[in-house]
Amino acid sequence: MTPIDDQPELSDLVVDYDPHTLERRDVALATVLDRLGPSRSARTVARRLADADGWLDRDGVDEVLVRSHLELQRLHEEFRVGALLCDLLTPMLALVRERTGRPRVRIVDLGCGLGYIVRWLAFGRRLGSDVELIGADCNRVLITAAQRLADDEQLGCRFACANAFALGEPADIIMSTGVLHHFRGDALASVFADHERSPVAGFVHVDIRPTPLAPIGSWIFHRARMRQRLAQLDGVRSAVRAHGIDVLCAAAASGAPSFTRATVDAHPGLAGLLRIFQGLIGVRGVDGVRLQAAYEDLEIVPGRYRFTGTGFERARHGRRRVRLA
Amino acid sequence: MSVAAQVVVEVAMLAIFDALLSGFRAAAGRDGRILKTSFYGVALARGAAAGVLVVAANAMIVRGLVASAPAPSLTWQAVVEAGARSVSVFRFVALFAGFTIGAWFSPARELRILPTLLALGPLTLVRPLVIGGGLLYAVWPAVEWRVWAVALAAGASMLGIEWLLGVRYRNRWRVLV
Repeated sequence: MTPIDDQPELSDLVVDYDPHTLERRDVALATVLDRLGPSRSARTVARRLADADGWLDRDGVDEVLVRSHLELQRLHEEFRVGALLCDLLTPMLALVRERTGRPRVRIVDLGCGLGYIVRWLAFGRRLGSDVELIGADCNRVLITAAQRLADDEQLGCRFACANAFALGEPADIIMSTGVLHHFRGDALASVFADHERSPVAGFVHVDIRPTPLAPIGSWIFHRARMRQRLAQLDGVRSAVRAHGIDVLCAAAASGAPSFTRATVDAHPGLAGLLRIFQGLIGVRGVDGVRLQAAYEDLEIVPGRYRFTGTGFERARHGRRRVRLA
Repeated sequence: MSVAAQVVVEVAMLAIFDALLSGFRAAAGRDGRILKTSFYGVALARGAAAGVLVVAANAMIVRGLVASAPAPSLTWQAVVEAGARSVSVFRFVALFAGFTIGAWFSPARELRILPTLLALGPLTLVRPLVIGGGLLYAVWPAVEWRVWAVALAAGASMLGIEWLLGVRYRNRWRVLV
């Protein structure tokens, strides 16, 4: 039997795209059930999405995914994920500007879904006016929804149904939230290899920090806050599937060796009770000392950051623990 | 103010407070915009208005049941006693919820997350149990079936209010696709 942490999330199975054209392909219920594992609840959700001929109904799937992402946005609002990304991107912007020599920086959100983080950052230009914000996702329905939401609030960002690494205008910084755990093994290393092959100057990836409490916490919040059964099930599964920082570091080291890398809040001590996310950041052409200095100097929330260098220097309460990886 | 009037006011206020929060929950996770101040303002107002209606409807039910009792004053007394017992439970839950909601506005970002993690999320999950358990505790000593009927009506209306308020938002996602 497949170990639970290797069982895919339902949302990964109910849609399928041509890897080159990103055209959507029909998904057979039997294929989903084969890969889903023994979870009776997940299998029930999958069956409900299928038509009489054994194919998943595209409209039904789209409805569930859009509603689930709206509910996920609510969780991100509650846990202030936008502010976390803003904190981590601000020093990265300075590093990338230094490296490229250009004031204008293009940030692309990999697997942006409804684009909450991109839109949150665009709202009030939280990263300044010389930042171009783009959300990229394979799901055309989610991208359409994200663009409509951005247009509705006249936000300075845009969305593309595309591979984040294959945009006409390449990214300077790639970011993601809750995406890395969707990739496992070679696929995870391949994501970082895409960074290496592209002209990307830096990356900021944030994902759930795997702890013994993460699955139960995830269960509580996905039960309390989400209405879609798919979202409830995937929420718990994503906490179980979240990569340990060692796995992320190893994948980044093998896939993107030219980047100087650091982890954020991977080992936050007691503060970990409040910090449910960990980050992996990387920048090209900058040494560890400079990376350290960037995160020390650019404290947008004064007193919140401290680099602990290469060791496990004890951080004072309230500061994020960033260390070179 | 008489004890009975005090209990009635407290029960009504607690019900309206709970309905107010139900209004928020019914709307939450259904609008993808970044700025949702007015959206949530309307949702809270709808919740509060629904709470007033629920209180009024339950007051009519109480009135009808008490009036139909063989000994209305004794039945009314039993209803008031049950109300007082329910207030003794729900008052603390409401105070706890109010305190944690207040902490959400703390200037320290991580302190804002703390009440969500420890209280607001889990409280939402156990709310049906708290309502059911609190009402059961309130009516347990009562022998008059009408008191149980009042509790049943109150519990059903409080548990159903979020679902009803959510009907308005259920298809809101369609404008996005």
